[in-house]
Amino acid sequence: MSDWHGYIYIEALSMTAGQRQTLVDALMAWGVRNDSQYPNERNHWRVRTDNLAVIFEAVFDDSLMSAVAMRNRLASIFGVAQASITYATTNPAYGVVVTYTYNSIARLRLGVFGGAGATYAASQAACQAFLQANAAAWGDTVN
Amino acid sequence: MNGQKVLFLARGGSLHQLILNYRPIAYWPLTESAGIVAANYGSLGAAANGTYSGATLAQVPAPGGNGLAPLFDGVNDFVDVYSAALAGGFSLALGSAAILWRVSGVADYLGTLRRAFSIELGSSNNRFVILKSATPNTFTTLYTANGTAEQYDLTTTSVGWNLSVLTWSVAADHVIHYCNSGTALDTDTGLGVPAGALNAAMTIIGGQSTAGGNPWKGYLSRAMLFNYELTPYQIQALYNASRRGI
Repeated sequence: MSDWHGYIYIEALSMTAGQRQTLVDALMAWGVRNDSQYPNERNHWRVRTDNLAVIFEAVFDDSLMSAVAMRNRLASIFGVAQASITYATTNPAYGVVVTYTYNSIARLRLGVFGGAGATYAASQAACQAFLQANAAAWGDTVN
Repeated sequence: MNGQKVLFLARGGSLHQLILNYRPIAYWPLTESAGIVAANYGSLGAAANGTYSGATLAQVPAPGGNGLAPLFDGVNDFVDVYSAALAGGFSLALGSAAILWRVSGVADYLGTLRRAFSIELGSSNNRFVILKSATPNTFTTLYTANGTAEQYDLTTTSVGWNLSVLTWSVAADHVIHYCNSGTALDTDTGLGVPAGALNAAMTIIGGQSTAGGNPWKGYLSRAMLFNYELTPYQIQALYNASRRGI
């Protein structure tokens, strides 16, 4: 295990409000330096205006940043069998995105800005570019 | 001219001390190197301390010396400066707001609107905002009372430190906009009458609200609030002191 400082994206695709809250509560506890004396190392987030997506910045355990590791973690969070969750990975411009499916329904999307193992600077730049391209949805004002 | 002020400047007094001499109700230097507390050195004391969310501390020399300024990532960094103490001490009827700001690069003058310093009472109908506009190469100071907005747009591509100041007086019926000088950029009259209480989620350095939105990208330093109008002389002195040590 080593530390990875970067930005991740979580989007609820088909989840109840209770399930979303369970997930968000778990995610807010992520991060291996949440008591750091440096504010930028502590887990902090920004919520999309429709409350269906969140960007987190934290220092993460990089062994948990793989698609399968996240699948296993989701299974634990929601108390279901690991094999009942499938996933598919794509690589858009901003990094890697994994879509998780349960009971044949796509439930949530996880993105790692800059891609797995990206430098902090690369992850930050990818996240900034993503927000610039999706400004209105995230509550930013553009001309 | 006040002899003590002349002597202070002749001795090269620091910007930090000069600000304290002007007796702000709130003054957050933002020069911490660790911790999540943004200490208030103004008269409201520690009860008006702010809380960092995500900013990268101590990155570049703060203007006027005496410490380093933090970097805000333009994603989810800000300083929440709401407090009950500030709610009791701040007024949109009479006062001044000031902050030193610096963008990360000239490209940051394009794209998203970004707030450097923003306080709203209840809603956007009563607020002041110091911001980088979504209009290219434009920096804006804005005062709104009871829905009547007074705004000045400055054309700039500065990549150094800049001092923006907004002063207001409902009794005198004017809002005055300043940047990098004690010479007013603009004076607006016909103010509305402000109303409302400090919005706990929208009293922010480096953004619009604690929920995110329009976050600052670049560096910020020495946010100040006063319960009187700074004079042109004081503002010029602040700017001159901010240039020392750079």
